[in-house]
Amino acid sequence: MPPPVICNRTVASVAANPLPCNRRVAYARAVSDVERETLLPASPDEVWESLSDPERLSEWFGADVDGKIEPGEVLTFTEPDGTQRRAIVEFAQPGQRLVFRYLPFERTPDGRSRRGESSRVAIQIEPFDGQTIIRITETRVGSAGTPRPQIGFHARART
Amino acid sequence: MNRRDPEYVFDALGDPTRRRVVVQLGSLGSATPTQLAQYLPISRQAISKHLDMLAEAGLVSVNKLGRQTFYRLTPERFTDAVGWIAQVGAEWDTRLAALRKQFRKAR
Repeated sequence: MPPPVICNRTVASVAANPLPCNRRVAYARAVSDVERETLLPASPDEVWESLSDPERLSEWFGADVDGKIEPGEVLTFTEPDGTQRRAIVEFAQPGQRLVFRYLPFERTPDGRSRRGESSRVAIQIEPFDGQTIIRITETRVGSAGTPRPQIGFHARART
Repeated sequence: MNRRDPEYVFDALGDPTRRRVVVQLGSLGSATPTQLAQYLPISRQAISKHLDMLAEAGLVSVNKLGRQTFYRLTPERFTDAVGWIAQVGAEWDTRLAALRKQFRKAR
């Protein structure tokens, strides 16, 4: 089986020169995706704790996060300026993978609702050489939060 | 679903052949499918279909002159798509830097 690819490089080459991953590597697999990954000096379980504990999650996410990291649960993100966004947890496998989808509207600091961006965030956690790689993929989705209709006869399959 | 929603830009640009049409059209400025077919390894009919999809996503404008149809890129739609990628990417850069800091503190 070929080695898994990390940052468009193989695990072996990452091991030989991990600096780019440590410093953050960005690349685009598809036009609609934002992808980031980094190597963390922790176990997958410790990284999962930083995702699933609202207090620890809020500490690095840049917003106060309220809600349980369990499928079907609603998360509320309150940004420093008071803007609120909500997301639905679509998948949560402790120590491995978390997927949530932002709802396509947000509440402004003065309490009004307005249309916002809907996107799906997938966070993959993988052990690597005693540490953990965390891989983020954020993909824009349709305004109603449903899969987009495909345009064109060469439309790419989406999952 | 409004076909002018930004997400259509991503679908329209998700196809590599369509991106080649975009690049060539950008190079020519304004062109008909027949003119584009001189530069691309696909048929005029296929180019027309790609241009229809790009027009549907608002990425090209259409101008009919007599029996000919000219297409031209509409740059503001690209700006919107790139803007989303830049903004979301910057947010994740900041978050992952804070996450790394969280683990450095713990060690």
